[in-house]
Amino acid sequence: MILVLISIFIPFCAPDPSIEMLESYSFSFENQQGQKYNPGESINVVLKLTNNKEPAATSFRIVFDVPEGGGSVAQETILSEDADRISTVWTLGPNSLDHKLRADIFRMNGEFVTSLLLTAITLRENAWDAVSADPDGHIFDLAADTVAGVTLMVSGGNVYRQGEKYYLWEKVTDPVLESPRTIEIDSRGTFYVSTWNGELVKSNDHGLSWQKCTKPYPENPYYIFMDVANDDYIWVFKFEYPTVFSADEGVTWRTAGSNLSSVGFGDVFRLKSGTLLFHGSNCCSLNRSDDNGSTWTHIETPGASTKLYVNDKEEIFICNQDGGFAIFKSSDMGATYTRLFGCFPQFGTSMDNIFNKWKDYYYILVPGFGILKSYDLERYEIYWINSELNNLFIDHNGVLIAKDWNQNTIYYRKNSD
Amino acid sequence: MKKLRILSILIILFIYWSPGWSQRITAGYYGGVNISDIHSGYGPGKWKFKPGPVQGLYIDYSLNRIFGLRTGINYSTLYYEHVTGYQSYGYYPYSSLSSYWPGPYYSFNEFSDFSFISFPAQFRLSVPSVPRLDLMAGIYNAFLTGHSEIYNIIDYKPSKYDIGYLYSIGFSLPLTGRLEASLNARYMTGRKGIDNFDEARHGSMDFTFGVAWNGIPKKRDGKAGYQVQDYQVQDSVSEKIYLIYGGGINASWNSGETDRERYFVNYGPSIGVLVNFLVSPNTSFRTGVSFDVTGYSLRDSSDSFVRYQITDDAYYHVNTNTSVDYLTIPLLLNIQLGSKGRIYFSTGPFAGIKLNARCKGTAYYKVEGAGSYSRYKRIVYDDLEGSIKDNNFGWIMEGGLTTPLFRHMALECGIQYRKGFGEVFDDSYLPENESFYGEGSVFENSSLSFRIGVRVPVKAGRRTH
Repeated sequence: MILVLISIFIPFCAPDPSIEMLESYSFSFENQQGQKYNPGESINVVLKLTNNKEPAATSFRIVFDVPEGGGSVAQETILSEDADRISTVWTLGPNSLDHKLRADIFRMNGEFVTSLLLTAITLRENAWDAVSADPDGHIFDLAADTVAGVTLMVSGGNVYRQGEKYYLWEKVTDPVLESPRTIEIDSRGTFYVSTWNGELVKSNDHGLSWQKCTKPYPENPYYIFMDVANDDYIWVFKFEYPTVFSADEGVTWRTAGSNLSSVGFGDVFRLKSGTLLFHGSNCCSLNRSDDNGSTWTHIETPGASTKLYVNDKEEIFICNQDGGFAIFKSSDMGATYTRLFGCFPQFGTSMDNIFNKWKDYYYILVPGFGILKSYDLERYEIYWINSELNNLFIDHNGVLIAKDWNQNTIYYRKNSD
Repeated sequence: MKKLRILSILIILFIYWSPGWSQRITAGYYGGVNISDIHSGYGPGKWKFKPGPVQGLYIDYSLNRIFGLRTGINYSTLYYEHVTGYQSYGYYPYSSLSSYWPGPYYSFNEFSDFSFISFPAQFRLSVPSVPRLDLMAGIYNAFLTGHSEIYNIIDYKPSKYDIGYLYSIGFSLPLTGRLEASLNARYMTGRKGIDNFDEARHGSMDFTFGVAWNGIPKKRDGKAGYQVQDYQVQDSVSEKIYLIYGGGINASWNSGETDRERYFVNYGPSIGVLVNFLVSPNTSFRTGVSFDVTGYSLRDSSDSFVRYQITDDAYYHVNTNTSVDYLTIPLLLNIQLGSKGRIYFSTGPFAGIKLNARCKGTAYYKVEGAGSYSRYKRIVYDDLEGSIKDNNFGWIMEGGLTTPLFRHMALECGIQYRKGFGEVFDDSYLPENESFYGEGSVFENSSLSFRIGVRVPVKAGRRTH
């Protein structure tokens, strides 16, 4: 019987299920991933080696190579010996946007352990370079002061100042800058920021300090649309609210007459005669006021117009989305229109920054189509076809910054001329 | 406990108040230890064999010298401990077992216990040798009287009732004219789920020491009843029947059709008893019961702990033994060869009843990411019972030598080859189940055993009353 017992129970004798970590290593670059550099720039790369199980370092052989970007690495093979960090110099290639440095880790006996990549991008001249990293990848709005040489951007609920290089951004912090949403600048260099809470904040010192304006709609806790006209008046719109404007940098507000309203963006221009022209995001809402906004008269527009621009010659340009996208011009205050350009975008949407001017040229964004270039707004050339574009900005140095429809990619283009 | 006392009193009264009824009734008490052996079905982890108390009263009614019926009342407490772990999600090769989630592992233990009063009813086959061998099989009804657990699952309800099968083997020796001592082993397997959540079933093995009194009924003249224990009086050795208590080492392997070259031999015990019925001077029929451990080992790269299975790069390097325990019932034709019948050859079919199955051993694996590398050693113990078919059938061939031992005994020494027919894995376990018939069997039992057995004579018995 004892033999039977032993025979039966011996097969069951075994340790309890468990797990034991025999070895564990982590390898990481101390350099940030996806950093932006100049073409051909050399970077000091530091690779950190961590033994997760033992305090003592373990020796590895690290082999670097450059699988993308066409650059080079100063020392391709490094023995870590007992060091917990090794470094080498990575020189980026001159002609590529994306760059990758790969580190293959081997044991000293040659057995492969793991590999990891360090990525970088170099922004070139006269080329569109896509950036999806924060903060600029999520840009929401931008305003540039060409006189003071300052560009401010709103991204991810924060304000950033353009840094030493046009693709470097520094966060601007101020207690009153709470949930920034859009940013505008007037001709005197005053920046205005509207917030997600319906506040308006301004800075008279190029973004160094900020002050709250009087709230345009005191009872409204939600975001507003803001436009700074060419006469430095601030116009504020909100669906189901009357349009209000301020002639004193947001200290006091007046309500526009004739129930003037916009469901979203609004454009207001002051003519030399003192006449105001307004067009909102809602269709066909071109209006004029000859009494400083107290009363408004509707002006007929061609088709379903949604955008207004007035040039230095006080010619009216109207964009509509009938059959795609078209630009019309009127030289007689809207009595007659001439069709100047038409195309077929991939999608139709509201229009924010459509007409942008840098030096002698206009850069006109057509959402869902691309960017047009024009000297006189009479003739247009297709500057860049990209049907994913949704908005366009220009910084104080003339760098074009186009925003993708996906909300996390922008395209930089720095022209050399 | 109150019910237990009442039933015990009733049984005792029944036994004592049967004047002159029959001398064929024996009453006894037994007590000992049970070893829990839950039938958990599927699932990772190890169910530990935990000891618990068992005791009971029984009455036995002999139909004749060989056959009888036994019933009584039994009280036992089964203690279960499940050692398992939680693994976070990771790469997952297919398997229903713990190889499914080779992520970080956190082990923990689960405890529970169940107390039962049960009423077994068994059919007995006795071999009147010294000691007397009793083989019994039957059913039991069990009623839960106590329970505790640590699962803390809302709405958890243990089953209040169980019914199952009961197999016993026991040896009895006379102490005095009316008293005999016994040593018994039982295997119990429940048929109902242990609770309302899973399909695990109760099970246990118990080992008990008992005392029985066969002089309870008296003749109507007041004399003690006649002795039914034939071995006590003027017995003679039977010429026709003898027992073989045997055991040995079982080298088993996987003779399945799929990747059979990947598997290696697994060693385990084989132990049991055979009854030999002489048909002619050189020919006999043998049957009995044995406990056999079969299976195979796997030392290879695989996505599974249990079987060779690779999709792309194998995730583990395993060193495991997969074992299936069977209760084997052979039906053998035995031929004695040579001038003195010193050479024997046996062959015939067998039926195997699955008792347990498990996969145990070690597995090594590594987890790689971009810039990270970790290597782990895993102690594997997976319950495979739900992955194995309940029965296995096959054929046995055995040959060996017989050497006389003492006056009436003999020693058998032989080699036994055993081949099971058909797939051992349950269809539900095989991922290729739908196309299974086109890909061949994965696991078939084969074994080679070196066995030593002792022939023990059986008393022919002459009643003296």
